[in-house]
Amino acid sequence: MNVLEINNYTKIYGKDKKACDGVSLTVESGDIFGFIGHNGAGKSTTIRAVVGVLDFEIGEIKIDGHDVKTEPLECKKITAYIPDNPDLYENLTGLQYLNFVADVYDVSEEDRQKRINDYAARFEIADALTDTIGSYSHGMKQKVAIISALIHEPKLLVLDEPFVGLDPQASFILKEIMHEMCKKGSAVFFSTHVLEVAEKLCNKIAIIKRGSIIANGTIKELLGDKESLEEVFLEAVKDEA
Amino acid sequence: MKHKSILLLRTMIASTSNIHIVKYSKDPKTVKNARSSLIGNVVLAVMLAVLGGAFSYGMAFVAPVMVPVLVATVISFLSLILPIFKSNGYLYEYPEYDSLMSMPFSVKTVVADRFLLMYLKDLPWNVLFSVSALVGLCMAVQPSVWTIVSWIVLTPLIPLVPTVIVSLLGAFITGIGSNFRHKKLIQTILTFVLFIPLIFSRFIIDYLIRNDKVTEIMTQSSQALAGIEKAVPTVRWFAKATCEQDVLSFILMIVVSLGLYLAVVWLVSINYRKINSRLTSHATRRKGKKVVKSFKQKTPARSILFNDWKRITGSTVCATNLGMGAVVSIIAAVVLPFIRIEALASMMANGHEVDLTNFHMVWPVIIYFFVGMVPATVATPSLEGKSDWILKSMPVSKKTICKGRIGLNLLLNLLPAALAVIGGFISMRANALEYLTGLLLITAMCLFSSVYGMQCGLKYCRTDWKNEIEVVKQGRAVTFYLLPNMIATMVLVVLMIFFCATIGSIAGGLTLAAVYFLLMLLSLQSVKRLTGEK
Repeated sequence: MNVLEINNYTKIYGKDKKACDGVSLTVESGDIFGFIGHNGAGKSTTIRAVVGVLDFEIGEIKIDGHDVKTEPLECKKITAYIPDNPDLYENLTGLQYLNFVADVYDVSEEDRQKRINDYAARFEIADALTDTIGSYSHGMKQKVAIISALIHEPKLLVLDEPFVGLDPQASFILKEIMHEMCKKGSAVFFSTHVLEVAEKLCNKIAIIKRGSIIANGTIKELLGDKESLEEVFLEAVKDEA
Repeated sequence: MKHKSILLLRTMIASTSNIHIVKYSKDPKTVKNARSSLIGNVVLAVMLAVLGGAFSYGMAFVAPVMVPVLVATVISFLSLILPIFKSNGYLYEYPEYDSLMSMPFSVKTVVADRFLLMYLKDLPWNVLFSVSALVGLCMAVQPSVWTIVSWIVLTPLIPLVPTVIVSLLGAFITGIGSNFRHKKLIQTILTFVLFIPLIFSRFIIDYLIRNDKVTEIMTQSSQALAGIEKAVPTVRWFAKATCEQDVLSFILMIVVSLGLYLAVVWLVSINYRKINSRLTSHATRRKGKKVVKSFKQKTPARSILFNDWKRITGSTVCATNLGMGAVVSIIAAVVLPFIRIEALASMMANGHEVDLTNFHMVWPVIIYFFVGMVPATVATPSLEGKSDWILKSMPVSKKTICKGRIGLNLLLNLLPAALAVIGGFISMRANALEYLTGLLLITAMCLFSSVYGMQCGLKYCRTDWKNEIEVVKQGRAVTFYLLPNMIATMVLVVLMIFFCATIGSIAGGLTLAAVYFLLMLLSLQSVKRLTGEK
């Protein structure tokens, strides 16, 4: 079952500057899908369009069968997004922010209490939840952003460079959570520069270069006779240069 | 070092200048916004020049010596009031603080340049007003060459002293606030405590001059100016230097202004880094805190209302600018039932008896002037800033977001305004029908203010700001709301007085309420269009 379908997604800035050109990929239920590419390759532009933050004119993006353009609220109800630099509401406490997100996603009091307590304990941030977000470090903000994304048990979790700023333990827990979500039938779509992480964590990978997908498939398909994803990536990029 | 200081100042001015954006930005939307701001500023500049010239020209025929006093008073007063709400944002907690302080600049250079940035941003307006007044004066009378030269030389110095004083007070407030866990709350309260006496400074000056014999020889219309001239040294020096060709006043103005500026820069520099560190650190977090965990479920609109409430009250700049009307209203609501409003009006009218029996309905319009000045709805869409991804990626409709934001504004403005109307009516001993009409009128006005504010806030939403002052004081949304609304309110006060004198207080109040309700409905249609709701 396809959780995310991107067909011919093209984003043009100004008159003719194509940030993404004909991007197509599919993320199925249970997939951990890694999206890799250079800085400025078009990863964030694609991700921001998937989660409804960025408008686009050409192509089609569907989440669980709902069109992002025509049914944005339906799509957002089942999606969660964590940006690369989580600018949260700094004047709220961590708990107030999580309650805010839970209110918007209509999460019941019992569910939110259980999930917040559970994730906060796992990320060891429970004590800090009554402090304002403005006083948090980058990593703490990232943890709150992750908990807020998980609070409504999304079908599709979209993350932009999720491991930047996280301590090793938190990174491990996040990976664990990703696997748990996939076992339950959800899907994870994330961008990263860390190829080792992508290779170990993902079952599918897409490589984007200058706005176009240059490789897409399962880890096995992509690796072929190569030893590592790094080798695949460097070769793919070199071939296209 | 001087070269570095100029380099830094030039860079900071360029980074916040619309001309720079138009010249170098490649993003059409950003360029369009900057161009619109520039056009808006040009229109404002023309209006200000005409106003300054016309006032000066008219006054020069009656009392030419009062023209420099008027110019210096207006500039000094505005330079005293306006920076109160922005000096903290310019001097402390600005986004580029860390990178600036890590560069080889001395603390004094950074403080001096941040201060000069704030001063220079307003200087063109002050110079324009002053020079157009000089032109008006030249057209009416023939001033000497000395008057013209000294006027031009001293004009940039008029706003320097008030701006310096306010910056010092701002630094003082921030310094005190930074010692507390609830830094912003303390800063906001202290700012209001400072601001309220300034609102009534005109009456304090009136009181001062009534106790002085100088006023006896002054005409009634120039009494206030004469008092200010006596009370404020820079105004006196400017007037004496330009009109009486007093070289000592000329020198005093230059030396004292620059001296005070250097002294304040030195003073602020002493604890500058310490205060900024405290503002951004966890050092003041309380020990052994009580952990209260509430998981109460709210509707999305209420949750957005709460979030915006925390956003506004969590920032001194936002709270002081957007909450000023509410504070004035609450003070009026608390104080007025215990005093006779007629006595207050009589004091403002230099002791003349004032009968307000038929003019009760003017009171809600006056209250609206304060609460409707800048509604929260005009700023909240832009205040999302870099956090705009949160609401954009959530399953919440724009209609719900607007509902929450309009709800917050009504809570912030309508509630205190209604209390102020009741307080005023108790003082004026209004009848039951007047109470009802007054409350209906203020409700219609606040509804309009909230919805029209939302319209401007959505239409001119800008999230790529660096400092929230750009949103709450200088943003296009605020400008497009503030100017028409302020002019319309002033006209309405006059209209209301006319209605009260002709068709009666109740009929006048109901007519205005109906007009505002209609305007609100029209504005609501625009909001619906902007949010894509049918």
